[in-house]
Amino acid sequence: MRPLALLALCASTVAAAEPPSFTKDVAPILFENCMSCHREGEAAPFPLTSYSEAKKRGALISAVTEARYMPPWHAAPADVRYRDERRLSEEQIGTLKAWVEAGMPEGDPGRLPAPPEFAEGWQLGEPDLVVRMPEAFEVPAEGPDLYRSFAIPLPAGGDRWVRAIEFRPSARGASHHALFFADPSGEALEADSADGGPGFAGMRELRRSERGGGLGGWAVGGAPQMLPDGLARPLPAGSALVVQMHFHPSGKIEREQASLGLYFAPEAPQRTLTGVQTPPLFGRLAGIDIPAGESRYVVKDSFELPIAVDAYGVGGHAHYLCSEMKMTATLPGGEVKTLLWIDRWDFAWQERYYFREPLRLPAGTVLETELIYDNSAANPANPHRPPRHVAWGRGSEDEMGSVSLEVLAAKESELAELRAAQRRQIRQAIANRFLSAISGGSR
Amino acid sequence: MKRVALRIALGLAFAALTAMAGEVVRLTDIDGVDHGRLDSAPGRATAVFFILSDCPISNQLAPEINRICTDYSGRGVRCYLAYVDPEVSADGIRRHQRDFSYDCCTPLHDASRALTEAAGATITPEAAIFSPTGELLYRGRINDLYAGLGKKRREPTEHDVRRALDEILAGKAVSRPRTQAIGCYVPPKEL
Ligand code: HEC
Repeated sequence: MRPLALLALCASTVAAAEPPSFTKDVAPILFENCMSCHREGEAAPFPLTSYSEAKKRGALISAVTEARYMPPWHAAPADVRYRDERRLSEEQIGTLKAWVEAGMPEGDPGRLPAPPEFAEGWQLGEPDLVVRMPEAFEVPAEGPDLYRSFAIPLPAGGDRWVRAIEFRPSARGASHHALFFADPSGEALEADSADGGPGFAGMRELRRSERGGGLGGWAVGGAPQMLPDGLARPLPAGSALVVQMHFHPSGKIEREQASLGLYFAPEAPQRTLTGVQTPPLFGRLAGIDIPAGESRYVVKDSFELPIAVDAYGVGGHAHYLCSEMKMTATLPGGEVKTLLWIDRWDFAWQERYYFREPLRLPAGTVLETELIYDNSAANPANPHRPPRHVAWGRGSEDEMGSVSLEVLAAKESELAELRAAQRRQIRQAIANRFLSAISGGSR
Repeated sequence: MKRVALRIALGLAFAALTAMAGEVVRLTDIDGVDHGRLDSAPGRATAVFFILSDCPISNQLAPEINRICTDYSGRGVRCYLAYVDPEVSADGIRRHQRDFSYDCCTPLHDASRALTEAAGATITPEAAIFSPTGELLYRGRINDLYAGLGKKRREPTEHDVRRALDEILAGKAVSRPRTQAIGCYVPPKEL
């Protein structure tokens, strides 16, 4: 070894032995990975923007990052990279821990990096349309998580195409996530006025999303994004905007009257964003039937793509008992790619994960989904105590489950073929259910 | 009987320890009003809830802390809320009390950590129940609403503080005198 290299090596081992300091090592991690939520006016309960703010919660910071509870991110590493991935490396987690163990030294204040800048107001610029929930909804101080939908009438106009919806909740501490739907039927507005108080209970809007009509969603800390490549989602003329919200009681009564900024595409998109869900219909035909106490109930389904598609994102849906979900793609050559793996499913985080680059999946690719449910008493999320038999249903205490891939047909002209294959899959599933029922299988 | 003897022995040992340390823990509220010594208290038990105004789990339990203190106040249980944030001001505490409708009990600012140390509390929210002579009868979670960080049950299934208070009021030994609280760590005393 050359003397100079040796010297450099010595210097680096000395540096490694020195405990991490706030300004040099910890602040860059917090600024980049935590501050988007942990700053004044944002969703997280306290800021993590200065030395004293971090020192005050040092042990907790180390505990929550080591447990991978923070930053909130539920997808395990897969064979694709996601946009806005919030995941600390083992090394970063180790740095935070070593800093706490070393007594949380500040280090040289001169080394403190400049904190990132965040835009004020609408993150995507001035929206084309701003709407607000007509009335505030009072979130109770405590109790189980709450789901409620709100129908917001929209000003008249023709068919519109939505590129993005930016969501601004007013009850930052209690609002956890929201899903948006277009409802051209008028049913949602009726349900909203029929149910006493603002909004209406339950999750019935999912039914609509089974037929399309989804306009995306928002989750705590999520940055709004424009759909790429001129894509947009349809908002038919005369639709109401339905916002289904998940609330997390915070210990005090909070009032939610969210504002939404809508961004429209100037014209109908050339290509159609569509979903491939396995199992289809949120698992309605998958025979989900989970015995009380069963700790590992597995549902599997697969779908062969009849055409080549470009996949943009992936997301899962299930209720409280689900513990794990996975979607893989087996390419015609035999290569298997994991597209989504949530190894600790948490009902509170119904997120969608967008790929950094669209992923081309050739015709003949087989999508396989595996969902695992834990209906034992050891699952703290189990809504039933003692556990009860649970089957498919729309209520949050029933179960459902599927993983859906958001895709574009590689050739728009082939889209009909994809849709036909999806209808065949549903017919086949109905036939299977019927056969298993007459042969005395599961209910 | 044996158990009672053991408890008395432990209690004496505890009293001796505090006496050795020469630490007299007094309960002084945020207005400077002295509520007396922890080790010569009136009533049947003193319950102290260690909280932080910006800890979400601590805040989520505010309604239940309020109810516990209201339910047991007529039965000889005195309740205190001990704020453990070294930086919180008296006004900050008053604001937090209003925001979370805390009307159950007297707030204290345990800036010196005397009370936190007497209880051995390390988490918020965490409860400590002392006998009138200052013996620590229970320390730990309020209930099991949280099974871990980020693991919330729909409803608690174990109500540890209520059970401990019921046992104390019935003249029994506390069956589970220590439980693990889930929440935010008590911050360092100096920042
Ligand atoms: C996407 C937004 C977001 C990001 C990014 C984020 N947090 Fe949080 N954090 C939250 C929210 C929201 C809560 C409150 C949780 C609750 O109310 O249950 C929270 C709570 C916490 C808590 C208190 C734990 C508790 O629940 O009592 C700590 C400590 C914490 N975060 C640390 C961090 C650290 C360290 C990072 C970066 C490495 C980080 N967070 C990144 C949103 C975020």
